[in-house]
Amino acid sequence: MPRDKKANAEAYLRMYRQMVRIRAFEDNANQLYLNAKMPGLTHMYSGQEAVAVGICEALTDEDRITSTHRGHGHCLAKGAELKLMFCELLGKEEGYCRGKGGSMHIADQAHGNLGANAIVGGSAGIATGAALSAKRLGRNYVTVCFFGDGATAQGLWYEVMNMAALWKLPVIYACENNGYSEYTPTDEVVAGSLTARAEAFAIEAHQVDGQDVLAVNKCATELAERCRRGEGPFFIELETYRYHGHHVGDINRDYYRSKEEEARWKADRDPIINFGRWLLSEGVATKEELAAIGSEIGDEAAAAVEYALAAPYPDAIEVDMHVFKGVEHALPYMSGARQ
Amino acid sequence: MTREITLSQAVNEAIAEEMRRDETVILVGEDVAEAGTPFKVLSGLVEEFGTDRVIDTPIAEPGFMGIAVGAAMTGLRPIVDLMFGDFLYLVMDQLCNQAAKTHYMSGGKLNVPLVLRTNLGATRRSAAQHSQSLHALVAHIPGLKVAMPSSAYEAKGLLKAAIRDDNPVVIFEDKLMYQDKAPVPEEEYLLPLGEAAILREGLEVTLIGTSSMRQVCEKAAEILEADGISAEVVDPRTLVPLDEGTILGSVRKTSRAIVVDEGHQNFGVTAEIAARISEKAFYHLDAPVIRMGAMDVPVPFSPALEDLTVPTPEAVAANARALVRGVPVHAL
Amino acid sequence: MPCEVRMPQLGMVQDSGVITAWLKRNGDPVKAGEPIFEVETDKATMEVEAATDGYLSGVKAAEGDDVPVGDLIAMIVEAEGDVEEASTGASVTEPEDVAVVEAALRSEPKPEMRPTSAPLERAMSKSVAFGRVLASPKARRLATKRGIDLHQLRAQGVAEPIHVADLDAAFAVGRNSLLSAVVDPTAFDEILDRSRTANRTRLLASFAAGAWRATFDVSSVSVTIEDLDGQREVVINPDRGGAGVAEDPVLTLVDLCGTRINGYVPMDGGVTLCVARSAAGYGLLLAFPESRLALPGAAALVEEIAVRIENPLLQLL
Repeated sequence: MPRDKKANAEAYLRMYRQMVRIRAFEDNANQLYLNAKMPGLTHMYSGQEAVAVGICEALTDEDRITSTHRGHGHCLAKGAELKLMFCELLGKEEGYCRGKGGSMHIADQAHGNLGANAIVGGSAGIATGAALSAKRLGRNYVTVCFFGDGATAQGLWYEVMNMAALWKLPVIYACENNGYSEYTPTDEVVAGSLTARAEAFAIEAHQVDGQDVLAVNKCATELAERCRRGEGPFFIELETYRYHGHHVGDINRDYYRSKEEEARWKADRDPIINFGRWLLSEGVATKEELAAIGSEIGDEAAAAVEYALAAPYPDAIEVDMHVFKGVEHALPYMSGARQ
Repeated sequence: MTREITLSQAVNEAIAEEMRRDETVILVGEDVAEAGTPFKVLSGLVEEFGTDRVIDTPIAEPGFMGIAVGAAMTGLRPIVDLMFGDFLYLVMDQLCNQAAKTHYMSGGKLNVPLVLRTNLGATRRSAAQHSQSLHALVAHIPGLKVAMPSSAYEAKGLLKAAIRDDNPVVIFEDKLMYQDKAPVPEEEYLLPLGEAAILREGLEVTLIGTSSMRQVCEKAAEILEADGISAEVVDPRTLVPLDEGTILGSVRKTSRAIVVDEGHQNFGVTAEIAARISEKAFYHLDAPVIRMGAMDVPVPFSPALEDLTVPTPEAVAANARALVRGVPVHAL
Repeated sequence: MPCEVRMPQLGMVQDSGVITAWLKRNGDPVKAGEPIFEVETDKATMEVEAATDGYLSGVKAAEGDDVPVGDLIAMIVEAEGDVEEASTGASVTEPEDVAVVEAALRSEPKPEMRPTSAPLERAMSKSVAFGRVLASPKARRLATKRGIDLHQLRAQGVAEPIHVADLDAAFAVGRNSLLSAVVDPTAFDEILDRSRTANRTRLLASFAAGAWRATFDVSSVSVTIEDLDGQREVVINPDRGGAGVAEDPVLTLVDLCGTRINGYVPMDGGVTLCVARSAAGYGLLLAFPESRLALPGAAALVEEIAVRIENPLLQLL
C-alpha cells in the first residue's frame, strides 16, 4: 500500500474501532441499567456513533468539546477509557469524576472534554467561553459544542452565537439532529430550518449525513482547520438517529415513532455496518479482521464492566469535598472554620 | 498611608490593580468599556487595558454569563459585571447549574475562577425590577461564595480576594453607597473571605448588619448609646463562608442579637443567621433573636411607600431597647 | 455465559412491576431482541426482550407477580441441557425475600405495638399542673447553676418571662442568710498528716465543688479561692482534676484554718463558704443570698460538704 493510503487506512480502522467501542459501551451500559445494577438514569448514544467519531477524529487532545446528556459517545470518541467510564456510571471512586458526576456529567479534562451537561443546551455558553479563552490567550485550539436538535429551542444558543460571530471565535456548533426532541418529533418543535438560524448570524452553516463517518470527518477536519486560521465560528447540522428511546426505560415509543422506522434505520443506515462494508470493498480490512476487532472490544468492554462492578464506592468522607477548589471540606469551611 | 476614596473608586482600583497583576483577568458585561457602566464605576479601565480585556457584550445576560463560565474553565479569570442585581434571575442556570457545580461534578478536576459583580439596595426610586437585594438566592447554592462589602475599604479588599479566589464568587455592592467615602490604605491589601469584623464594641446587644445595613446598625448603636444602652456592631462581610465564630462570640457576650439585612425577611439571610445563633448560642440568649429584613412586598416606586420597606436605625434601636429592657417579643 | 433476566428499570418513578404475561415458557429457546414477558408499567404494558440467544431457565415469577426492579426473574442459558426447573409461586414467599417480608410487616402492625396516647397525656397534664415558668434560655441556665428556683421567683411576683436581670434584681432585695456546722476532723486530719503533698485549701475546694455538683446536678463547677490577703484564684472543676471551660464561679471558698478567725462574710451578695479549725473540729459557715441559693438547697449543700470532710475517701473515690 502507498504511504498515504496506509496512513489513511490506520485512520479508517481507528474510526471503525472507536465506533465499535461506543456501541459496545452502550450495549453494556444498557444491560447494567436494565438489570438495575446501575443507579439513576441514562441516555444511549447507539446509532449516532459516526457523529462523535467523525468529529473527534478531526481534533487533538488540546481541542475542547462540550457534551450533552447523551454524551457517552463524545467522551469515548475524545479518548476516554472504558474502565473509568463504567466506574463513573456506577458511582465508583475511580470514575472520571470520583462518582460525583455520573452518566450525565462525565468530564475528562486530560482529553479536552469539558463535561457532559444535563441541562439541554446548557453548554453553549461554556463552549463559546472556551473559544474566547483560546483567542484571548493566543492558543490555537478549537472548541466543538455538541448539542441536539432539542437544544435549538433554547435561547442561550442564540445569544452566544451572536457573540461568537461578533468576536470571530474558534468554535464549531455541532447539532446532532436525531429527529426527536425527547419524546417529540423534531418537526413539531422546530420552525423553519436550523441552518438558516445560524446563517442569520452570518455563521457559515453545513449539513452532513451524520451516519457517514467519512463525510462527517471530512467536514469537521476542514472546519477545524479554518477555525485555527481565525475563520470561525461554524455550524454543522448532522442528520442522525438514536436507536433507543430518549432514556433507558423509554420503551413504549409507539406514540411518537414506529418500530418500522427504527428497523429501517438499523438495517439501511447503521454507521458501523455501512462503514465496515466500505472497508471490505476498499480492501482496507478483511471480514476476519473486522470480526476480530468486534470480539476484542467486546472482551475489553466485558472486562471493564466486571472491573467497575467490583470497584469500591467513594468513602463517605468525600461527600463535602470538591465543593470549592482549595477547600478540603466545605461544611466546616462555610461555617467559618479557617483553612 | 490612607486616604478617603469613594466605594466606586475602590472597586475601580481593585479591578485595575488585579488586571495589572494578572494578564488572565478580563472584564465582561454590558457597557463596561467606554460607558463604564451606568454607575461609572469602571471608567478609565478600557483606556488602560483595551477592548481585548474590557469586553462590551450585547444585552444578553445568560449568554455572557455562560461564556464567562467557559472562559474561567479554560484559563481566564473573568469579572462579570451584572448591571443590576435584579438580573440575577436571568443568569441563574449558568451561575447555579453550571458555575457552582462544575468543580464538584467533575470530582475536583475542573474549576471556575470567576467573579460576578452586581449590586443590591432599594430607596433609589427604581421600583420593583431595579431595587432588589437577592444575595440570599445565591448564598443558598453550594459552590458559590458570596461577599457583601459595607464600605469602600471592604469593597476593595474583598474584591481583590474574590478575583484571586479559584471559585465562583458573587459580590454585591450597595448601589446607594457608590459615592460614600471611607479611609482606604494606599498600600495593597486583601480582606480574606470568611472573616467578620467587629466595628463597634458593646455589652448588651449585638447588631449584625450586612452591606449598607452595617451603617444602619452603627447609627442605631449611637441612638442606643444616648439611652445608656451599649450595643456591639458586627459586619459578617461574607455570607459564604460565614464567620460564625465572631458572630457567636459576640452574642455569647451580650446575650441578645438583632440581624439586619436588606434582602426580603422571609426565608432570608436574617433567618439563616438568626437560626445559627439560636442553635449554637441558645443557652447564652436572654432574649429571642430578632430578624429585620426588607419588607416582604415587591419594592414599590412611590417614595412614600418605598421608605417603609427598608430597616431604619430608629427601628433597629427600638427593637434593641425592647430586648435589653426585657419586653417580651410578642409585644414588639 | 448464562445471562440474567431481571425486572428492568421501568422509567423514573416505578420501583416494581407486575408481570402480566409470559410470552415464553421455561425451557423455550429465545433469540436476542425477542420479547419474553410483558410488564405493566404506570403508563402501559411493555415487552421485555431477551438480551442474548439461549433457553429460558429457572423462571422465578409467575403472571400476576409484582416484582421489585432489579430482582432476578429467570436466566437465559446457552444449552438446552442446562435449563433448570421453574420455581414460580414459591419464590415470592421465600424468607430471604426481605422486601416482601418487610412489606407484610408494614401492612399488618401487631396490635400490641400500636402506640397508646395515655402516658403522653398524663405527662402533659402534669406539666400544666406545675406550670412551666417562662424564662430566657440564659436565665434558666444561670438559675440552675446558682440553685435558684424559678417558681420561687414567680411566687415573689417577678414578671415572666424571667431574664437574667430579674435574677440579679431579686437577689439584690432578698434575704442574706448564714448556715453553720461543725464537722468531725479525724479522717481529714489524718489524710493531711500522712500526705506531704496534700493541699488543704485545694482539697476543700474540691469538696465544695463536688458537693455543689451532687446537690444541683450540674456538669461544670468553678470555685473562687480567696484568702485574707485579698488574693483570689478561680479553679475549674477542682473535683474533676481541673479540666473544663471557665464559667462564673458558683461560690467563694475562704480557708481560715490556722488562724483564730472563724468567719468572713464579704457583703457583695455572693455565696461564700468559710472553713475554720477549732478544738471542736472543722467549722463550716455558708453565707448566701436566698434569692440566689434557696434555703433547702443551701442546707443540702452544707450537709454534702460536711459528709465529704468527715469521709474524704468518698470524694477521692
